[in-house]
Amino acid sequence: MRRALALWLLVAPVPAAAGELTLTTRTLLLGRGGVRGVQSEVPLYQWIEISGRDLAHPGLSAHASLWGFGALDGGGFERGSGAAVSGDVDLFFGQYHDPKGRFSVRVGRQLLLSGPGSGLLGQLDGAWVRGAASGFEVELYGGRVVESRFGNASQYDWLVGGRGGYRSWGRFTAGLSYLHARNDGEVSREVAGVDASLDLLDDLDIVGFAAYDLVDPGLLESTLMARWRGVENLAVGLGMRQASPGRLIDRTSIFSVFSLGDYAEATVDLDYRVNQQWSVGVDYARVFFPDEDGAGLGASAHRFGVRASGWARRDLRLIVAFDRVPAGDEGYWAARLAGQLRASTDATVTAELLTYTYDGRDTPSVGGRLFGQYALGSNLTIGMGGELGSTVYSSFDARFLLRMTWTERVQIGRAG
Amino acid sequence: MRRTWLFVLLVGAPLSAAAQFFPVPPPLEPPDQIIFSHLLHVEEYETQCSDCHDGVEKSRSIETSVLPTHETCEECHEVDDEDECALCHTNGKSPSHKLASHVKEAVFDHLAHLAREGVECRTCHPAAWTSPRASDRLVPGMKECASCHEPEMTRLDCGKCHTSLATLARGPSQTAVHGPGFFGLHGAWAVGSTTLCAQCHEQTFCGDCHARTTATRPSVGFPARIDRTFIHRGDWIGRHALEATARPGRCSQCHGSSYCVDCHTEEKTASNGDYRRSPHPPGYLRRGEGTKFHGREARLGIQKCAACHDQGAASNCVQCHQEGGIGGNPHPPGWSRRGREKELHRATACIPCHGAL
Repeated sequence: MRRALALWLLVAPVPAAAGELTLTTRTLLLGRGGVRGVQSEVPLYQWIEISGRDLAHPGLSAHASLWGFGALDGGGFERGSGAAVSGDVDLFFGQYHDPKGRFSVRVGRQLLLSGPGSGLLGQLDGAWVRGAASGFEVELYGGRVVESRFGNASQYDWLVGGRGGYRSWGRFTAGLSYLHARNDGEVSREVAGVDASLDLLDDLDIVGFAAYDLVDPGLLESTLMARWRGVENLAVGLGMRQASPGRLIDRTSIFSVFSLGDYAEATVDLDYRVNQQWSVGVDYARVFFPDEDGAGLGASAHRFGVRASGWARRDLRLIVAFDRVPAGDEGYWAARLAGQLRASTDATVTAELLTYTYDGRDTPSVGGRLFGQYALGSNLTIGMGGELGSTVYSSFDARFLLRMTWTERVQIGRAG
Repeated sequence: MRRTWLFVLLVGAPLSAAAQFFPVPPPLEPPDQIIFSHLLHVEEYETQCSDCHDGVEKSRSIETSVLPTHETCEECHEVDDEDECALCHTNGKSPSHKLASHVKEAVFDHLAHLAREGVECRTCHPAAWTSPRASDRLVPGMKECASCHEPEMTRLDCGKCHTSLATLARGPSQTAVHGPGFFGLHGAWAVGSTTLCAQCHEQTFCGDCHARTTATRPSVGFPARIDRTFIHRGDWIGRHALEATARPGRCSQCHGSSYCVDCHTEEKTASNGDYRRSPHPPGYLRRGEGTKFHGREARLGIQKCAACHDQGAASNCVQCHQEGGIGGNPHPPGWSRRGREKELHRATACIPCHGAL
């Protein structure tokens, strides 16, 4: 936190030129009753998001996203921290994007989004720079990894990485990436990656990436997906994904040496826009879980889902979905019905009903939520709602929620 | 019965008396909407676009509205006849609706576009020829623009058309970039296209779902966003262990390896030596003694084991699986051929079982 604050102070620009400052606060009060053995809790969350764009110089901006928490009563699953009062910084950075797209730099607490492999997506306190010319681009980053909200020390001491890529008119992108992370001075990850996207025809997108573990040589994670929109109103997707769960664990962990089994899935999905109001979709995946010997692929299962979404009337949105999700020898069925009524331009009412039927459990989990939201002017929105549910952990669970969002935009440094 | 009457007297009477001081608001009238069929006007009456959209052929900026006004309609309709209001207004008694442009913060030159060979109104507004309702969205989407402007889109020259991206009112699914099935692809796209994403989204947008330090589940923080694909929706606590097996590697995209044990300890749902709290079924330790065997489960989802039991040299697997221990060799087939021998007594992952040099 102190490091993030110091970085912020270093990069926080002086608002001198024409710019915009946006402040958004979200307050959420949850209440959970102590019904039939469920511990009561009343957590209060407060989010604050501040963004300043084009500060001092076009392309120079600063962003902060913070949250605080106070346990007004009791504890429970929503508490998320041992302390009665808690908080953390999600993001806290200053950045500069050259308006011509040739150079970018970001310093502070930020998300790490560029390769290798999506499974290594992370968050770091550090710096990221990017330079681009003639279709080529280079990204470099380094810093300390930010860990979960529980306040533990960083899992890694530090990491560095980068990506070099080429972009050709959006028809083709390709890149090579590398990541090196250390934990207590010992290599915990060393990964090389390759990624590419191809837009051969106007209606066909292909995108893929692969990450290779250099510590324990082998394919760590790979994905290849294609989406075709050649027929009007229809999109067809095909995909393959592979991951090696044992390699996704830090190489400094004992558990990284117990399994080299692979997980893989082959997917097909269809989305069809029936008319201007409604669209339907189906998806299917043949899923292969790691072999019980600990090497390669093992048993397979079917994952599938059906969904429809659209407008029953001009002001009533509906979403219906059914899914079957296998998980090794087990799995579950899920059903969801959600609706949102725009009672007026300022008021919406949202209702949601979900059920989960688990293999090996006699009674399903059932839950529902009703939430109303009203906009008081253009800056302030107030919402109130309630949830009821029955799960494996509590036969009856009731909650209420009160939510308030306030946004303020301020133009700064404008002449006249 | 007496209690009911007493309640009515004590609560009902004062309330009804107090209600007299507050005027009852008149019943809300439905908002006025325009009734208009492009289809009817174009097909039946053979109306030309410029008949209603006065000046559109010479318009150089969308800031100058070319939407029809009362005066425009007056050329064919008796707009001053109050009996005729209901012809075009859903609330004929109190017509109030005025047409307003949906497009903001964009640059568009109708004159320059219409001057190009082969470009006519229909090229960009094809839906206008079949639209039966005034509420139909006829402003072209990114897909229509892409038929000519794809090069600008692909080289991220957004400023050619947009003066600002941050305040766009249109949903992502309506743009060419975020077509059907995009959610499943977005992670793969992001690996090599972070600058493309950054054209419209700041990292604070990504952080709503992906920030590791986040306060609570996104589905709790955004209860009205039924359209978003929140992973942790509904009975997440009940199915989180299943999800970890169903999609290996997905949890670690946001959560560190200590996240699970920290949370279980926090919520007092970790065993911590008290085996009555153990989430594992009876007979879990030895093969054939229960419904599940820990060795098989570890192969199936080793990340789940590590999530709670990764305590370095104090990990409970070491108690049986150390060299010479009763647990036997836990490594997968072919492990010894992977060049690990030289690390045996040096690497952090090896020392707890094999000892340091």
